[in-house]
Amino acid sequence: MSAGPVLLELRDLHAHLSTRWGVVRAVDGVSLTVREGETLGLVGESGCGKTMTALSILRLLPQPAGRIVAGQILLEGEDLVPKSERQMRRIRGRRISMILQDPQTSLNPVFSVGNQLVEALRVHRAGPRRRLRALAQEALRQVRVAAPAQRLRDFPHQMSGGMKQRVVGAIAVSGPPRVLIADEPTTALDVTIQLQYLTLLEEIQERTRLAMLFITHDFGIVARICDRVAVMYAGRIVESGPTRELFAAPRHPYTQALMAAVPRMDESVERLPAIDGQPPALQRLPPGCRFAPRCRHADDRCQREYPAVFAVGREHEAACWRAESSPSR
Amino acid sequence: MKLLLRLEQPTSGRVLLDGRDVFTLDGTAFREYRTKVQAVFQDPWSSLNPRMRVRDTIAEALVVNRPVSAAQAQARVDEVLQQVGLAPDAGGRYPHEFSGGQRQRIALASALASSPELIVLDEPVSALDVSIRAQVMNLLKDLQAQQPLAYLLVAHNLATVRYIAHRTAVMYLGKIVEYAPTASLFRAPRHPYTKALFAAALPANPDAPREDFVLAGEVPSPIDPPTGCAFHPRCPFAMADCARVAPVAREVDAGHLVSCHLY
Ligand SMILES: Nc1ncnc2c1ncn2[C@@H]1O[C@H](COP(=O)(O)OP(=O)(O)OP(=O)(O)O)[C@@H](O)[C@H]1O
Ligand code: SF4
Ligand SMILES: [Mg+2]
Repeated sequence: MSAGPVLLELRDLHAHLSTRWGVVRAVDGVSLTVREGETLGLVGESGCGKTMTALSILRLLPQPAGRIVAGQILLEGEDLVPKSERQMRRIRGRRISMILQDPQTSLNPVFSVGNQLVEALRVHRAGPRRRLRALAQEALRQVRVAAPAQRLRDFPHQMSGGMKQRVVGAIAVSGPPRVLIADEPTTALDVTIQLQYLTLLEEIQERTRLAMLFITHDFGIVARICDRVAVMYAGRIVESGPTRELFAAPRHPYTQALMAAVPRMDESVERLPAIDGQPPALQRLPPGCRFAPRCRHADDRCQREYPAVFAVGREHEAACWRAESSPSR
Repeated sequence: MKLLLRLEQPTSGRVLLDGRDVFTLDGTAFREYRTKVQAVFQDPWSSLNPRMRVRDTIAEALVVNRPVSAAQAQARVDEVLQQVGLAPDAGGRYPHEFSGGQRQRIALASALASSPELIVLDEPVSALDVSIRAQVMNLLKDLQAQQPLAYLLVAHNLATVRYIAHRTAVMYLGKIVEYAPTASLFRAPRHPYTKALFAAALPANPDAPREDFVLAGEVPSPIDPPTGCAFHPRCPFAMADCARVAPVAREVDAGHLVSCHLY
């Protein structure tokens, strides 16, 4: 899909969580952009800070532990960091929405689906209840729920996981928002239902041209729906670029190792090249490159100094000393 | 799978291990069975005790099923820890002091301790990260290469199945609909449900052809499955017979069985 102007931009964002074990640098200098009509995939291992990045954007970091300590979050050019909670409430759900992994946590079990949709719509639309009810029905139809009038009366526990996630989707896009953040929305779904759901998100995006930040660790999903990808490791983006280019020619050793370690369903391999070791703890980060302890190219400088970000192609960047010498187009 | 571990009773049919009906085993024979069949689950915590040192958890798994001396047990613990690629001092630590991948190794070590013939692997890597997943899958392959060991792998990720399994059975609503050597299945999946699974899987390749064979409808309840072929309400190829007659398995290729009226 052709991408328009930048709707969301993070500039050197830092978010910390204070815990009993020390300060967790969950988001440690993240910069990224997402344009209108574009999907940016955010991938990386468990615990690398993907969800905290998403929650920072919505200003919903776990309290009281979480705090944005530096950087900017620009939504259509407007910085969200200095906004008050009251101002944020007018932005969430309206200009920027989020879909979480588990639909259970987003729906209230004691209210009917219709009730929750109407409440969501009321946040940004005035009108008599009957009209909102009709809009709610339309919202369900848009996420391809059959017999929406009857479904409005259902309670969440009467629905399958896939159906619930559709309802969450309907609420999230009812704004309709300019930016949608989806944090592993299909992990809890059956594979055949997963594809239905991804196709639906693509349709909605085509219609509303919203900018989507899609968090996942499934490279299959990335290959299918993302225009660009950002790879996160230990609180930082280590590589970003257009999906096709990143798959064809990953430049950061972590991305390279990660791609090689994914088993393929379209070819038979005898042995997968695994990455030894594990990511560093975010409260005790090494001074140099965070991947250095696991990287087979690491040298003295890698151990000492965090690598700068180098352009390695059009819109393709890598934070690795080895990318320094590469021809930058 | 629960039947195999004797966690539930079958309503009909039998489970045989080495030709013996598992549900008629008692006393010594049952204890013997418990050493021969072990399990590793998606969540390693289900076989670990958070308050016990790793060494003791593994030794306990061993002692419960076999009369062994403490010294023998400790020696075996060291051996299995080494087999799963953990440092010897790992035994003295508690499960929470390990990463997810390492905990899965510990669960595997306790399953291995009693030298089983069969290990049931229930989604053993699906909760692990890509980089750790490859480590654990390689370990599973290595262990099987080193000793006579059968795995029953339960997984929904096709790439994982292709990497580990020699033969594959595809189940829909409690019935096996297709059963074949893995290579044959991946070369030519026959059952419409298997085809749908392959079409819905997303290969890690942006240039992969998009076969949009998106299944309509939801998965029906296994408690009251549809008549005839249980897949018929969602099957794009369903014929009149499919709703009435349950298909029987037919061999379509060497060792490749399909239960579908199309074949
Ligand atoms: N409520 C919390 N309090 C303190 N630390 C937390 C909290 N939630 C998460 N963390 C820590 O913050 C870091 C980043 O976590 P985050 O949830 O962003 O990871 P993630 O990349 O989304 O991982 P996953 O793929 O498992 O969802 C982790 O080290 C985690 O342990
Ligand atoms: S900077 Fe050095 S250690 Fe880090 S990824 Fe590049 S080569 Fe490896
Ligand atoms: Mg997360």
